[in-house]
Amino acid sequence: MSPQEPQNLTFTVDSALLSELGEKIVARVHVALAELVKNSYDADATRVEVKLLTDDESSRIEISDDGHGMTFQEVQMYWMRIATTHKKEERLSPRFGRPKTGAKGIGRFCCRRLGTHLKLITTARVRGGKTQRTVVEFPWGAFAPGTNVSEVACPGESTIIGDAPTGTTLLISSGKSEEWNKTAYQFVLRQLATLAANRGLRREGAPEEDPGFNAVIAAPGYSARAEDLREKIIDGGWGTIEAVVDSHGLARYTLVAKGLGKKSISAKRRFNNLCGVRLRIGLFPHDKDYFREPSLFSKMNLSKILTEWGGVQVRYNGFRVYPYGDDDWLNIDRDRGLRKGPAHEQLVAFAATLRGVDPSRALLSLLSMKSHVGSVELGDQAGVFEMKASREGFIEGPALTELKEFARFGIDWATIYRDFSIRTEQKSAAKTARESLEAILSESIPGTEVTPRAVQLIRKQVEHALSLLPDESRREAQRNIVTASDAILKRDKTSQSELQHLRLIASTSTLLLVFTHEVKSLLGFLQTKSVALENLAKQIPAQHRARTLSISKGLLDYKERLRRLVQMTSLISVDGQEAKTERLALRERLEAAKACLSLIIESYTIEFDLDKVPANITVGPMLEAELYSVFLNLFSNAIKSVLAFKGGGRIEVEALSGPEGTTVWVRDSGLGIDKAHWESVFEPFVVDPKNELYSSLKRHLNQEDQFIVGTGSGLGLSIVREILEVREGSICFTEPPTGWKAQVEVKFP
Amino acid sequence: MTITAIWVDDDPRRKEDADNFRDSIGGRRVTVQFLNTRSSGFDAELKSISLPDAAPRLAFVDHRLRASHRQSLFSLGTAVAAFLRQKWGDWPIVGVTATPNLSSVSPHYRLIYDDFLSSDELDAPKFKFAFSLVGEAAKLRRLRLRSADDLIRSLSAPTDESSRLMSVIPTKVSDSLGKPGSTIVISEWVRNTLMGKPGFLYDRDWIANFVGITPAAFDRKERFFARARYHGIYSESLPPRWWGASVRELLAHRFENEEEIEPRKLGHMLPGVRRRDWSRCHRCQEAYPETMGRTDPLSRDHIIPLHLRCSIADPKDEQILHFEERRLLLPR
Repeated sequence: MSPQEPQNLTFTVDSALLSELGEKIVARVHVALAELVKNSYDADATRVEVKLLTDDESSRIEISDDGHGMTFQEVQMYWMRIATTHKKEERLSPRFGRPKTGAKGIGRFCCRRLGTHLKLITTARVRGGKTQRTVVEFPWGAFAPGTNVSEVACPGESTIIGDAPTGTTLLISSGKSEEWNKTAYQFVLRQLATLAANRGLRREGAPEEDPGFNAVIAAPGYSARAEDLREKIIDGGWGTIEAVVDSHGLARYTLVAKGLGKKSISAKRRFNNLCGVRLRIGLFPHDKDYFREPSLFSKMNLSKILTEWGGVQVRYNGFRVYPYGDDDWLNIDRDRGLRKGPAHEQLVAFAATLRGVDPSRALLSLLSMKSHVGSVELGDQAGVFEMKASREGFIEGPALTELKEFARFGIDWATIYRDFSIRTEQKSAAKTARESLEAILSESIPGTEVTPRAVQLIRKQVEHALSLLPDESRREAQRNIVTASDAILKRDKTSQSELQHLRLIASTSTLLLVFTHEVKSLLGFLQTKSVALENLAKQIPAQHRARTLSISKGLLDYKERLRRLVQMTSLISVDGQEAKTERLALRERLEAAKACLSLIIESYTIEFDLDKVPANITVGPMLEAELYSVFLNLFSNAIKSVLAFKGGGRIEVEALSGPEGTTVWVRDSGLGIDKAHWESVFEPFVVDPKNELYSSLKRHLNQEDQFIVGTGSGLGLSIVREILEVREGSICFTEPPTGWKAQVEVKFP
Repeated sequence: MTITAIWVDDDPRRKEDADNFRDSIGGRRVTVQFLNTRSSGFDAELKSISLPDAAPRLAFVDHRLRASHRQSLFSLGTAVAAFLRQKWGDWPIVGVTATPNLSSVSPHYRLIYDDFLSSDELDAPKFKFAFSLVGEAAKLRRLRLRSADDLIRSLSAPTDESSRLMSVIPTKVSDSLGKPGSTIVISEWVRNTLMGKPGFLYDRDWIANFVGITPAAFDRKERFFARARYHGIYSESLPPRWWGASVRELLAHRFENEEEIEPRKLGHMLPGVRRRDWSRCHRCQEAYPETMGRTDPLSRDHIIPLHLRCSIADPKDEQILHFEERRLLLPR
């Protein structure tokens, strides 16, 4: 056999490969559809419209975007060339610099996956300021196994059509309708939500500012009306706040939220610089259970949406104003950090009307700035908003101040409602659970009896199940169940009694706040009277002048004492200004705490010595209120102890600072405390373990001073220990030095 | 100077404060009118107040008006203040508030009111301060400041400080000069920045430490530093201040033969200054602390002398060129 001439062999591609690859790469129709919309996003589209029409026999899909489109040449060289690397090489979209989202080179497989016929209509810009429209039809059915991919003709044409809008439309028909269902549709929505959350961004290095991306989906089989995804996202969270300022500067807010329905409020103050300004903000707590459209969000896409697109933007005549939305321009995160209460008196009053809401604490539920998704729209009617020379934001002025107040009012109002809603839902869940139990037991159960009756039921049911076990195992299991249920019941009993005690304490704290407020106004009048007396003294005969001035000074002294006490109550109650952890100068706080108790210290001539506390020691970081709580409790205990001993005595505080931290000793010459009780006094609700303190105080104190020491809540030392442990410190009783009866040692890290 | 004062309040009991103001200043120097916002004639009464432009006047306005008459246009203190500002021009308006922390009052209001007084601290010195604002406003009207140079002249600043001062005058101040409403802008900057933050002008505690001695020792040597005392606008309204540059020059001149040039060391050489008069760092107790600071960010105590090495910059301080930074005791 003679050798033949050498020849070059080439591969050909069987059309079966298209379906092979297609099925493997894009296994499900909803993935395919989502990928095609991602292609629109990557083509710098600002809007895409999707129609999904299904009937019993087939599905038809239309995807139309306003992206940059493709020229005839691009369709041929990239779109119709399998496994092209075009998309892989360019990670950012050319116009807006968007990080590309679609998988590389699988667009045609997606189209093929969705139907057997595709018509691609695309318009792109070409040289000379003109546009080129390209239409190609893909009869996927013709790509039958056995044919060569490159030999199947796809008829197409291109036309130069002047300056027309660019974009791409895919008309996919003859798909399998049985592959579509509600779950698949919701998957598409979830996938696209991440893209439609893009409400505009300026990316460094990108030729143009990204105006955002929106997707509108019409799928009559799954939703009665076309869904605007950007709007749907905002409405998908817990609640949506909308507001508008009318031509008189009056702002009306509405909130539509889960479990609340529609609520509205008008701000009492006017926003005269904001006529026509609108606001629309969605609130997104981290727990999806509180969402109105939980199916729209997965844990992953929610986190991505909030991280990338969360924030309240400002738009001026439709254009986004930077940096609002990227920064904390509404001071939301700052106020969360400070644990501030509502700033508006109207909202404080509003919060007070909601059952179970503590007005001063309602804003502790404030979500982060990134958990607010939406924008404030300014139009021509709004007052003077002057851009800074850098084009970064507006110049500070009354209009901007009003804008911030306008937005924060709505957010704070909605937050108060959210706090209310959380409380109501918790109560309602507990009520439902109780009703279910009542249904099982066929009797009504009082709130305090829920735990014992539930435990009883569990025991009964388990006993029944245990009867099937062999004797030996059954007895052991029975013993364990009795032990475990006893533990639950005892714990429940303790909780009930502690709760009752805490309710009492809580009711006194409200009284304290009212009292503080009243005293604050009286302080001013004390001052007024004192100055009036001082002025009067100038006009009266000299023999009465000194006496009058002395009365005036006395009034001022009492006013100053009261002021210090009021200041301390304000410090210990919630006050956003002070609620930050800092390293704090110890001596200054000890002196202030001592000053609060000065009346009783002086009345009973207690020697109270702080000289052994160097002025340069700082402790913490901790809240100032915590430091005061620690020492007010310790000082008041020490005072009670010395008063109970014989109605007088000594208290000394010493502090030392070293590399290990700071140690403070509070010593007193009072009753002392048995070593056996050194630990138990730190347990909650342990009061006077020797039963000696309060009976002795009764004997030694004047009747009018009895109320100062009270009977003790039994919580003081346990709270002190908790505070210190949270701040990585400690507290214990130690052996006192000679001459002292008790010594508490406090350690700060 | 005789002034007309009005006191606008929703609480009739506050009339006694208005009377106290008159009596603290002296009845012959002031006439006071108390306007109760609850009265049905309040709006008309307020609008009817008519004074010649040059007549010195002062208004006290309850910042937190609550119970105004239903038909009143003035349901807020700011509304009353804004009306008066429009009608009265640059004459001072003082807000009276129960807010214990005046620094928490919105900066926006600081352009409506010249200052705030806390309602539980209305004593004779506070009333005298409010009265002095009228004198300062009258002085500024006479001076007719039209340029930054005019402003620097009104401060009676040492010649060598002119260029440094020029560089710290904010645009909002320089832009306001010669225009209506400039007094409140100038006043706010002079009182709260130039006199409020050490850098050019120093208060007694600061200047004592500046020359290395205790405030008590400085009081004894105050005559020596008399020429460095600030006598510019608002000097009569606030506690005394001294020009740092002039103090430095006085000491350099007094000890011109000494090699040492640092004021805090030269101050120790002043006659009568003993070791116990030396300013000492609050943290290490050694001499020559270069700065002053607080023990912690929330401290309400007086500022204390500190070495730079014994302190840290307060991270929350808004640092301004040529002004001393706020310092905090270095935590142990």
